[in-house]
Amino acid sequence: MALLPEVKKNYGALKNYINGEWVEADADKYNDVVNPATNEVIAKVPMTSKKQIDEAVSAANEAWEAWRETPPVTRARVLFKMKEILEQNYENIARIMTQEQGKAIDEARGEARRTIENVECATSVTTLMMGYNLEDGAASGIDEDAVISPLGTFAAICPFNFPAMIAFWFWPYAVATGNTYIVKPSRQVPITMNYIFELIDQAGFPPGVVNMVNGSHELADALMEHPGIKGISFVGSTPIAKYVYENSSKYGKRVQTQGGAKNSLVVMEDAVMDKTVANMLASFYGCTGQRCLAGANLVPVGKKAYDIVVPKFIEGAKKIRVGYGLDENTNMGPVVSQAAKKKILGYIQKGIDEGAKLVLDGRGIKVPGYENGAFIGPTIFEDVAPDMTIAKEEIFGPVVSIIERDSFDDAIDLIHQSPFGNAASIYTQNGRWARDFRYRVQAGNIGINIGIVAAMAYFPFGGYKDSFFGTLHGQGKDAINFFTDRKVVITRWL
Amino acid sequence: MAKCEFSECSNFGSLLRFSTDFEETALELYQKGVSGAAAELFSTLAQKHKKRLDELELARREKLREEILEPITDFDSKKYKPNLNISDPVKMAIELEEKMVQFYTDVSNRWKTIQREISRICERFAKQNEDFVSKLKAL
Repeated sequence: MALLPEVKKNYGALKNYINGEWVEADADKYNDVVNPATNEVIAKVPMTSKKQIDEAVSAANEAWEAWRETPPVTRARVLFKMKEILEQNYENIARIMTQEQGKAIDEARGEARRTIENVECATSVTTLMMGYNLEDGAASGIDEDAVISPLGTFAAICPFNFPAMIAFWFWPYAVATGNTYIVKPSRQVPITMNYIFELIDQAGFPPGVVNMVNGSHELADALMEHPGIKGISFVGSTPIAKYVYENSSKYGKRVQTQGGAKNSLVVMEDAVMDKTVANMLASFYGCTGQRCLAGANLVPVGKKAYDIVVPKFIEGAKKIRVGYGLDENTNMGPVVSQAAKKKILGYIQKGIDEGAKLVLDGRGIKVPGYENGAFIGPTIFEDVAPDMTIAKEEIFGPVVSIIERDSFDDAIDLIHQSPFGNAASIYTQNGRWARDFRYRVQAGNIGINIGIVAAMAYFPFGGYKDSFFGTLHGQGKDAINFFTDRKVVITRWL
Repeated sequence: MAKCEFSECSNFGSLLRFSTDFEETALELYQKGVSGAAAELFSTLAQKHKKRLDELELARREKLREEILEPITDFDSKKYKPNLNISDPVKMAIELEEKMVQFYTDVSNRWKTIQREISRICERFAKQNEDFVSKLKAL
């Protein structure tokens, strides 16, 4: 199949978007942005100075008062306009994501859809942000109201695996509720968000309401420490999520940080095996395993389940087509970078060294025409013990560990041994097992015959244990609550 | 004939691409038009296929979820590939519509447990194609 055209071959040197204007970055250094399928440089991203963060925060702080006084229904109208512009540019957004991040085009289209859904959800602010009151609530003749108010300027520090969607778990809700915002895209995949900010520029937000600065972890630190920022949202690995949570808290901020994962997919002997295998393949290998909802450990319960599911799964994995994501027949694209590839290959070697049986080896894969790409084929280990590194640590790549368990309870124990609690799934037709699983498993996202438990925009994106630090999650009502506070007003007319 | 490739289907996204290839090919054929008795029907069918193409594009954008990432390994798309070398426009149209009946019927069954909205669209399209075939054959 012919490749879909790229939106541009090269996007040049990226700028920052501050106070409603595209501005040259104040930066001594620019990093390369590389297409992971071709290994070609497709843009340069500035490592913006801390000084320019002050400009962005000042602009956002100054815009806040007028934006806060803008009626919610008017704020929602800007988001309606934003949705329309995103729809018009839907395919371009998806193709840029594929070009810079590597994911297959349908995965990118799915991400673009979920991006837009968060804008749609935030347009309901007039309902979601309503407060409540009680006549004579304080005493006879004294009424009590709870008013929901915005707080000021917030910021998001975004990861590389979802270049568009993750920032949208936060900022549409923040601005809908009357806050102002700063987005810091991942320096590995900044082009998509830069393109989206060209669209934001057309939507009609007043200057300073939404801003974007490109940069490194130093810039992230500056956001966490800045007195003009009220709160931070972050998604990334657990060590960094913990650091961002602790550091931002130290500076008195509201924080929500989403960390890593090691998700188990449990297969009971009564599962509908063909459909289970197809669904699991998408879970383990979708986005090349680079998402916090990806399956990592395949856990057949009992020999009967093992004997059916494992050969089918290996057979299915062998047929996954690896290639450039702009080929619509590609099932799995490259990992995000050569550095990520090296790290994942290190985990595979570790699995071999620790005694797991490598039954499908994706290390040597060659993709014709893309010999320099960061490709790793589907990889499967059998005979994985729960204490092996590949069973415990987040690999963030297309590597599956098969860990057989003797019973349902053993499977749940295995899940609970992990410090992570992002997602877990069970495949079964037995309602009792399904009910017990959802009730007992300590994870923020539970799948029953579903391997990718991606919460829709109007539900919170969950996470337990070391997969999430904070109280309120991204998306939906949780996001509304994160970006607002409750002010109680007691009124007596004399 | 159209630039469409009718290439193999290795995932649900490419199944949908196969569908749009059908619709674009049919649209191009009907838009070229013919003289004589088939002219009016070709004009009507052009409108119908344009509407269907738009509906498929909308479905691709709005109705697909993570399930579309599931690899497909047992779908032989070759058997649905139309013969595009028929010079008579009415016979060409019948070839296309008949292949679409077969394709949409099978795809509808495949989507049934994955995404019911898409399955229903395909089911409806297959019925429409049957109707189009009858009308073309009646010319």
